[in-house]
Amino acid sequence: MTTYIIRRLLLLPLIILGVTLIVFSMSQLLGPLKLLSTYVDPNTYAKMSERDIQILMEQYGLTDPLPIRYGKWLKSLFKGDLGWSVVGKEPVLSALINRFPYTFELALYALFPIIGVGIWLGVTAAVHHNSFIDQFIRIFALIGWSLPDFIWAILVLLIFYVGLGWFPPGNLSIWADQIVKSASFQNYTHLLTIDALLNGRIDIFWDALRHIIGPVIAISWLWWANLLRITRSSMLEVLRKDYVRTARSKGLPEKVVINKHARKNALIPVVTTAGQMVIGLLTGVVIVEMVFVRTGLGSFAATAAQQLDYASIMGVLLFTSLLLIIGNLIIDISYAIIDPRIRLG
Amino acid sequence: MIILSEEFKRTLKRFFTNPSAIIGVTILIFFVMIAIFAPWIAPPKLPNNRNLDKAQSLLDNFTEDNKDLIIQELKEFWNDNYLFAEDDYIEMSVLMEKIKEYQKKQISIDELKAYIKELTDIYILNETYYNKFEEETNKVIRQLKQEFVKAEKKYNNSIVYSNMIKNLEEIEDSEKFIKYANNLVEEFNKNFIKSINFDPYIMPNVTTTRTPIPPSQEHPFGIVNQKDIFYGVIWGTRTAFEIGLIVVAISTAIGLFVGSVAAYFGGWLEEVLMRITDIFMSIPFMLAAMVLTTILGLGIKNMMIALIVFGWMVTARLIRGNILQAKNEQYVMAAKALGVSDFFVIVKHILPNTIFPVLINATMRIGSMVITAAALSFLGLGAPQGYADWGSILSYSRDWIIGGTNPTQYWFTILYPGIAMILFVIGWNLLGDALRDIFDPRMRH
Repeated sequence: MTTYIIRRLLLLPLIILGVTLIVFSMSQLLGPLKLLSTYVDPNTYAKMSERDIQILMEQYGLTDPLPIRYGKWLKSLFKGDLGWSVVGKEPVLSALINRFPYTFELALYALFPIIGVGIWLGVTAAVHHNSFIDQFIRIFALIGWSLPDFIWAILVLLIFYVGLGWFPPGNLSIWADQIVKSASFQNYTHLLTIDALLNGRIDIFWDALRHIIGPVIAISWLWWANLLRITRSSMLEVLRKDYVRTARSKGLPEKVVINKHARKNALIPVVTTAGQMVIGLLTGVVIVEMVFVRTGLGSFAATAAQQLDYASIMGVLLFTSLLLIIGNLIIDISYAIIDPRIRLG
Repeated sequence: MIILSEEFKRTLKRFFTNPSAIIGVTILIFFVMIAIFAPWIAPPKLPNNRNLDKAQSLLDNFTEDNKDLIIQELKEFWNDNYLFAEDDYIEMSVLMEKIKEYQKKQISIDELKAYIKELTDIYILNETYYNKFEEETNKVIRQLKQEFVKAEKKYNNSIVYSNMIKNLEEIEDSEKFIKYANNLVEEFNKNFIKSINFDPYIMPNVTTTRTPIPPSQEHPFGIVNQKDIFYGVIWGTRTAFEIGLIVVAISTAIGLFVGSVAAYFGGWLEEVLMRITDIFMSIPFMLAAMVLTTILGLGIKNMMIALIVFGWMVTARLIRGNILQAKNEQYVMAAKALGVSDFFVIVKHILPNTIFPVLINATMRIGSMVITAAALSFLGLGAPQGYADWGSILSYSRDWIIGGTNPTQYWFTILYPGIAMILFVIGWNLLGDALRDIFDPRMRH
């Protein structure tokens, strides 16, 4: 197992380097003129003469050969310089750092209902294999799996905000937003709900929670579908195993067989899916954040793409890729620890 | 071969007794039918002409008194479209002379440019010819020659048609008149419509108000942002098939190539290819597709390229794993021991035995690719404005449902394209599910 972990750790820099290479190549598809416009304020750019543009291109090293430019770009990356974000009106790195807690908080709140309900549904379906309950859960999963997230998010907004008025879009109500932005409110963790509790403001906590439930509902169904399918098929496989049959023939009650013998082993493959889900929640909730007008990495990326803010979208892509790489590493290593069969891979 | 066909028959039987396969296939056949018969279900509205339509309707209810009116409508049409044909033709022939002189170096480029400017000022030529002239001289000259051919043809037609209208005035016999006039209307229609560059995938504007209009007899799914939703949903079926099938076919082919080469040859080649696969997998798919589409520029084609570039890795990993398993099977070892070439072993022995999981995966990916593409269009990053695409129509509806004062009154803007999209994806997912049940050896008993 140690060799496996060491191998994974040694590959890590290589993979990160590869990702930077892909992102760099993508940015080079823009061509030197568009690349220059990412460095210069658009208003001044429009007024510049061709000679000025030429001088600026040399100044920013856009006329250098590609490998040198890649080296320079990497160097600035290590210094944390990702360029200037037009959408965020601040350097890209600080824009990312400011927005990440919002996405993190949403992921945190979405995690519990998704994993809890998803695994419960999967196990229930497997235990009642081919019964009415199983068919019902399978249809539920199929619809969730086939339902485009933007349609479902709009429907959730329509039902719970427009219809019932329970869960409004946005991060916070206006009054709460003003308090949070004022000097008297201390930001300990940058997670709105937790900060509100630490500041002793229950009203702000409820407000933040009210705003987060809508997106959580919108995300949940899509991931339930995924998780319960994996749980169900894994559980079905385990239920056919000899040791389960042995446990049953020993005369153990069905509840004990399922809870003690089957479920534990069935959950091993689920760990990977759950881990990937966490990464997916952190890196890809673009649509839900856009529909619910929430601040976060996803909505930042989408807005930047709509306004052709190339520096920002490159920054988001690099940042989320890094999250994905580290997340996958953690999953693989913990998986190797849980399941001895994988250690040789 | 007999054994194979027995196996095939059994597989078919399993397939057609599987309820989800039947439902999935039914849904998909339904959509295929819609895609094929789109031009008949929602006929594209060809640009029409008021004069011609009126002349046609007068002809259909012909009376002697109408005769003058019909001739007048036809004359008006001729005036609108062909009155300046002769002038244009003369100006354009002068331009051709100048181009010839320029090519023989008798006049300078500036003189030629000045003359083009004259023509653009009186709207004979499009302004882009003048603007682009210096950058792409040869290309523009080629285009100008085509313009001249067009003008010449129009001039010739104009003489013929003006004579025909004159003849029409002299015809006494009403039956002959109807025949002759009908012929002329048809000719006009043909030339008028054919000369316009018409794309049925662009949804035409059917109203002048932007507010959505509820379903009616004429527009059964209602209207949003001036577009007929029925038209968009029907033609969007073609777009969905195009995106799903092409993206999945190409990305699966790339994945098959990378994975099978890596698995079969092994060694450093495998290491390099699989690490490249790892690297591509380390970039979040949705964001990567979004960024690449933005960089390449909006449009269906660029969106498809982006989805392909970041969509091949799962196939590569899947086929590699399967081949590594198959490589140790006896029949492959036997073939290799007999000295069969590497390529032949892969194509003839290994691929047929390992390809089913890949095909099942591909079937399931079609649905999710269509969803991703629609999500990109929904964010305004995919299909261009007005393109018949489910994601685009849904993005119009978002504006009305979220931004509107009374959102529930616009239910139809989300319902019909949404149902089409969900059914399409469910169809593919059911089919993939059924295929997996049928081909997965663990499920056979």
